[in-house]
Amino acid sequence: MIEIKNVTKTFGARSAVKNLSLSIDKGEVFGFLGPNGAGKTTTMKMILGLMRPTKGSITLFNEKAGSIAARRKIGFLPEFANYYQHLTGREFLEFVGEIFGLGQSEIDKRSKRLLKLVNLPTEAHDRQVHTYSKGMQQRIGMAQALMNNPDVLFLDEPMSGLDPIGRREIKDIIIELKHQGKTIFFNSHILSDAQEICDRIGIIHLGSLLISGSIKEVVPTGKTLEDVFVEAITGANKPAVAKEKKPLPTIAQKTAVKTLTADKPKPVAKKKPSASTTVAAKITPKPKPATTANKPKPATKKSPPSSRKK
Amino acid sequence: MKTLYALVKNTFRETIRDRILIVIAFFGVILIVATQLLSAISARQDDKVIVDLGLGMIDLFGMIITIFVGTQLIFREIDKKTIFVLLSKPVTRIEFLLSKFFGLGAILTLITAIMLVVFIGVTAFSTDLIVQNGIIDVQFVGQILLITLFSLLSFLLLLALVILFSSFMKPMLAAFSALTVFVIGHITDDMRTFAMDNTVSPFFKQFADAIYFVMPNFAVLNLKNFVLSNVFFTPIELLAAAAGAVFWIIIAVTLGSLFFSRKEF
Repeated sequence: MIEIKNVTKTFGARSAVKNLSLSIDKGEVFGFLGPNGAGKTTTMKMILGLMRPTKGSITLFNEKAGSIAARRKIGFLPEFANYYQHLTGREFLEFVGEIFGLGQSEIDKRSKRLLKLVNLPTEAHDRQVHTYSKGMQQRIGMAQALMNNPDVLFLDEPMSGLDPIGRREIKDIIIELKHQGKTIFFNSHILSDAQEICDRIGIIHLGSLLISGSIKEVVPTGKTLEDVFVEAITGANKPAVAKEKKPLPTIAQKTAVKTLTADKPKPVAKKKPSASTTVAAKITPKPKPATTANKPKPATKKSPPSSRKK
Repeated sequence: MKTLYALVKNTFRETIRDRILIVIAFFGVILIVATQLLSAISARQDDKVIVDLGLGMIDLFGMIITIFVGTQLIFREIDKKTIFVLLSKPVTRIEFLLSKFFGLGAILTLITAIMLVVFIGVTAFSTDLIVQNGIIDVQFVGQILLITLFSLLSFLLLLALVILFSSFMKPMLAAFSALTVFVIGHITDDMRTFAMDNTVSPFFKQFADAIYFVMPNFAVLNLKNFVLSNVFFTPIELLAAAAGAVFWIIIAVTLGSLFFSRKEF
């Protein structure tokens, strides 16, 4: 359904995404995880056609990413968007319906159903969006993304910036959509949510895909996704430091790792080797990032956690 | 076409509800009323001056709205990330830019019409320029309408330039660039006339000619001074001036679309 083949995106000398290959099947919920600045949003923007890959190709439903035909079949919830502030929630959905060429009765029917699905209070339907709370804006954002009954839904950090109740509500909506058989691709760095919702995950760091596979494959028994994630990221950072003899990861890397380990300040290095550390070791970019997921063809049996079997 | 209509309607609705626009338009109307009334009651002002002031206010506020609101149109969509929502839907970038032009163009038409009605109303109330002995001076009103129509055309041309520059510049720079072209566009005619003088160097003549042909001519859209000085134009001349403006609008929006289609978000 979504095919990303050897995609690289560079901004000047900096590579935001490096030789990324990934494919998402119909009905799958795929969590694209990584610290801030890892390349998640850039990847999503390339899939949506908001950016062009420097190298490689992306197709959706066998159509070129960004083509009008592909865009008819997708829905997108951007991160931290402030929707049209002077439109009411209902007007906003009406506008989106008109873009898709829906008739008025169909627009009314879908708006009513979606406003109910996203649980936007009735009194807010005819209020201007600038009066909405963050959670309400996220819910109207989710409704607009679903207005065309998309085959694939792209969600960029759908839970970020929300309070626990808002997060729970958005998560429930995603689970509901999953039960409806929607294909969902979402970016996140909230790992517990990803573990709960996703069928498959990919971990990206500094533009390289480190791990990709089903939750069962990637997270061994007795471990959490957070453990796997931290090990993968720190594993990817270490050799770079040693090799270059240059100090230190960037502030962004430090912050990302610190933030992610803050809840569980276990010293990773002291841990006994486990299946997932083996994964981290395998995926360290030495001599070349051994991201089996980056290879377009299925990985061999030797590296089951990082492989992806269709 | 349905998509474009939906986008234009949205631009119109979002902008018309914006407080900045309402405030500027409100001050425009107030100033037209004030200048007309003050001019009329002050010691024997020349009729031409009264009309000139009123129409000047319409020009000034039309231009302010075009620049201030126009430069925000694209920038705000990017800043608020609503452009991600739109361009991930079946909306082409040309449709997006056209919707900004037609949406604000419709608002400019509406506000110009309101200011014109207020201007004619106050002038009729405070002077005998429009109604003399109970009879409406149709020729005078016709002249006012023609002048305002060409002013509107110059707002639309300025808007097209604002959209062109906004497609690849930040708002301040886009406003400055559009204003620069606007000012140069007002003096190209005079520069060329001046260059006809034999004392002027051949280089300046060529320069004035080049500027004249590569810049939109705003001066021909400013009929105020000519009409109020009883210099009249033939319909062909008027049509040529209007066609020139439309030509430059098409060029500016097309160039804007080219730049915008290469932009990444």
